[in-house]
Amino acid sequence: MSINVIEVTDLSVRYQQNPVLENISFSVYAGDYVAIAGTNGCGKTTLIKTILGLSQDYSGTIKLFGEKIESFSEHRRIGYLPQTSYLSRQGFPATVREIVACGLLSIKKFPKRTEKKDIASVDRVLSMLKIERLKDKLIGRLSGGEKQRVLLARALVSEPELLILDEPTTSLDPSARNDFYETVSELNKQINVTVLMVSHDSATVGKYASKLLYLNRQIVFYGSFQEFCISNEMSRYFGKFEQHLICRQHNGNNNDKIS
Amino acid sequence: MTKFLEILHFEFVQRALISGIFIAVCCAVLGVFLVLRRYSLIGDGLAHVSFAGVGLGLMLGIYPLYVVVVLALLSSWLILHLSENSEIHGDAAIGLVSSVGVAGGVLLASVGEGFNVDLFSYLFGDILTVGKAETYAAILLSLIVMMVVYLFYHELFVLSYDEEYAHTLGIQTKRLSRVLLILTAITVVLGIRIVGTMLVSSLIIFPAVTALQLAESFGKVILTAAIIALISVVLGLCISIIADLPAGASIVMLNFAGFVIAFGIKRIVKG
Repeated sequence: MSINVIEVTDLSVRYQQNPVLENISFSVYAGDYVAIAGTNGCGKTTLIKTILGLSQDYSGTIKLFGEKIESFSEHRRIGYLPQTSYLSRQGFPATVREIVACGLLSIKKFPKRTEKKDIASVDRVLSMLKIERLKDKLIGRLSGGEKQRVLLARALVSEPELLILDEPTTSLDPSARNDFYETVSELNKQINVTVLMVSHDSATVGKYASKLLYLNRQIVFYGSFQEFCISNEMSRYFGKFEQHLICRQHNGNNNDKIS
Repeated sequence: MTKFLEILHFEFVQRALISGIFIAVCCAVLGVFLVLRRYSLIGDGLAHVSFAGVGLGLMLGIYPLYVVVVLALLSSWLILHLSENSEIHGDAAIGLVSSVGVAGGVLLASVGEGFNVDLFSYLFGDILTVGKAETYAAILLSLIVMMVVYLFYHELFVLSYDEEYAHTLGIQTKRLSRVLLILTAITVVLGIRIVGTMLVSSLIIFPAVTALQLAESFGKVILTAAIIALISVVLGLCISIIADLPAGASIVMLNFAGFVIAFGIKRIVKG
């Protein structure tokens, strides 16, 4: 039996009296790679921010690793990559090492200090993502793709069991985007990191994710890609051609891996 | 220079130097976090409120800086509360509180004509009149501020870069923001004695912005800002004594010169 990493029950979120999410219930299990998709304003980012405890105006229950979000304290088990644009915090005067080391604060007790082993952990994760050469560069001087990898490194440095990514490929070109998806997919497959990723790019993310959660204020669809491919509801949302395209991407990628 | 060294033997000059260095370094270190969090003008806002506080203190016959501390703390809480719990952005919240402060100060000045001279002396400060008790207070409070910054350095760093991300790490971001503003309010009050309410925000903004031009890492920005603050106070005081110029304005103009040089270096070196 897989561990229930995220358990959301009857979640409704309001923003300035307006409903943003209604009656959301779903579970994510250890090792899942869930892509959250939907049109602009459908509540994707609100959903993950509420799961992370960043939104207070909600009803329902959210449990992370079996513990209610209100009392959740094991932040080190979660790695988060927020939605950022290439230009955001452009002039911030911090090196890549300093930024990535932030990810270790969740495992440190007061007073939080950086030790030699922390620098080693930072260098190890930079090396794993093949960006060790950037360690002394200022974050503001990196390209969009490099910056996203650095923020992914920050999310991974505490060795989390759950990785939450909010539109991580928005500012990336197609090649950097594929590289990024490949990296996350490898983490999911090789070290069994559970992934929850918001993406506009249903077709590409479909190539790597194991499940799709389609939102439109409510959950329109939540299931595996095999179920997605035969869902009439999804045919209506995506159109038969788009649905077929996503299924081909997903199946093609998995067949490649089998062969 | 000989004149400065001679004058250095006077206790009032030593007090001015010591309190000036402690307060300016505090302002500079806090300034880095405030500038990066886009709260640069909070010093300005709190200083304007302090203007009203000085007026109120003089009118009630209470030592003005006691009233100023209370008003500055209340105002910093109000600014944060407005920007966190309403649709009002931080800069607008600072603007609101700031203008009420200035208006209050002007009203008090017009009502109490007898203390106008004292009130206006607080506008531009006078570091050379800092007393013994004020010097001890400056040292003690500066040490407290520096200790808090040292203990929460990493939390303040991540809060400055991305507040939401800091929250996901389990950091009490709202509490930490309050601590930062309380420290700022205390430092601003101390800074008023050096450069006055009109110029105190320059002690917060200039060293930080100058250090940001030369930045190679966050740690170095903090260190550079502190060194710039220290040099500007020592040199500013030196110039003011030698050339018989107002100390506060000299310190600010030196900070400006430092910024121009750093900005030029950045343009030349980094292109």
